[in-house]
Amino acid sequence: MDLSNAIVDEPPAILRGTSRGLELIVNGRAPIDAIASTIEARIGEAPAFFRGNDIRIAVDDGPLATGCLGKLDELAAKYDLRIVEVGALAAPKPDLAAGSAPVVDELAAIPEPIAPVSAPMPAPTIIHEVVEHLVGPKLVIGPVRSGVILDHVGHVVVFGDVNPGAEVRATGNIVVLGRLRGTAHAGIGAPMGFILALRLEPQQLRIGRQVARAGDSDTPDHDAEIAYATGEQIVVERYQGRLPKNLAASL
Amino acid sequence: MGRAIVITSGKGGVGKTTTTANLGTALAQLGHSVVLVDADIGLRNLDVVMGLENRIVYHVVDAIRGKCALQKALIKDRRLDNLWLLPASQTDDKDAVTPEDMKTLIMELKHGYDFVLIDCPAGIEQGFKNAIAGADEAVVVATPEVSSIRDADRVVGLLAAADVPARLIVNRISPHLVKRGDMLSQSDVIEILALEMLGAIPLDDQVIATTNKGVPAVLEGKSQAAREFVRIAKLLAGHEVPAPESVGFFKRIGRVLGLSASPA
Repeated sequence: MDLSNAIVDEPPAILRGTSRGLELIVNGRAPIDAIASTIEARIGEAPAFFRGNDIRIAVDDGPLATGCLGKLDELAAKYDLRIVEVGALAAPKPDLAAGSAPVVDELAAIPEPIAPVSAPMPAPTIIHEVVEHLVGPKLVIGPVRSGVILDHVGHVVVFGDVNPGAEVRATGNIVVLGRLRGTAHAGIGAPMGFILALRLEPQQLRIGRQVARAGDSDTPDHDAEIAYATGEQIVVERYQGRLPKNLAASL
Repeated sequence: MGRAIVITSGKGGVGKTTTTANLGTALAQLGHSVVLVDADIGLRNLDVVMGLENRIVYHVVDAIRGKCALQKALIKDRRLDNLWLLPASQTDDKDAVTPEDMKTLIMELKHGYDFVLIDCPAGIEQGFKNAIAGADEAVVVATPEVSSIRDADRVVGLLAAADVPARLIVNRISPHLVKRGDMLSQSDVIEILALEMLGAIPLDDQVIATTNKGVPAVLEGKSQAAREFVRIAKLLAGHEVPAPESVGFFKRIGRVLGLSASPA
């Protein structure tokens, strides 16, 4: 789903993570093909993130066209999703403009400090946290240890280190107030995003669909650094107290 | 009521069993009653390191299954009157006991002894879950190698998830390799693991020699490693402990220890 388009037009379908699992809002007036391709594109942005989840389908604006549910069922099977509920959209429509606004606006729109989430100590199995969009950034008390995978819909701020073998994934941006030595994936499903760390020594950086791995040179930099995607590559530069101009312009 | 401490590491071959044997012996020498539990079911070797192999009649699985009274499975040490060993079974596997079984067993032992030291198997599977089930606290053993530290980090995460507070022992530090920059130093290890450090055991040929004889190094006495084990045992028991000996690299540990506040 192209985020910028969502602001302007009613999208054929919106797929998002909520605290109860995935939620799919389908526009009843949209053509089946448009719905299917929107969903496929969205899942294609982060297949691993969506795979294996429960999904609730809410239909907006009238009954589904004939054959649409069959198509949805087919897609669910293809991506290993379980449809647990299908119904009409009861709640007021999500605020699309806010939900898919460019990242900087969303940062600016955070109304008040959010109470720190208790330290997400790693469960014996991988932690997959899918949280309601718009709840604001997730605050994580580190260290995030090896074997832990943090998933968040939105931005993530880690106070402490992200150790090798750990992975932080976010649909928004990632800020690590410590050493980033594991893997970070920012801007999942978005065209842009950045990763900022006091020490950027990652195993791998991923922004959107781009991947960069740590260089083989062994020159630790003691300054805060920021990584962001420009067109075809991921750029890392020293963080000088503000976002790089070209990044700020693209957000 | 005693304290149950699990000695674990994630990675194999870093010295869990040697550490268990030496800390247990040192605690017993300090006058505490100690029972060592070998939780490495199927691959027992704490009994070998303690030199008690030929006295095993019953083992931990027998005790759990009620084939014998718990007291009957405990083997008294040859040298110290207040040191006991509960050996592992060699013929069963890790699924022979459940974490609930272990909890009950360790609780029973805690009523009779000051310290229950649990020697954890390598890995993070069933054996690990069994070993940490009854533990009040953990000692994580890591060698200054990247692979060991990576595994230790994973294990510390799992311990935290199970609400078991952990402290660190760095094993097999080689002072001259650290000085040459060919080995990770304690500060490197602490930087990654962010754990309170109990101590660092120097690489010591004597430990290998005594371990093979079935005599814990602290009983033979004079090596640097033995002295460090005794110091750590005192720390565990809550005695006043002097800062580590200031021989070259030990100076650095002191500094690091001062800095290494326990993380949240």
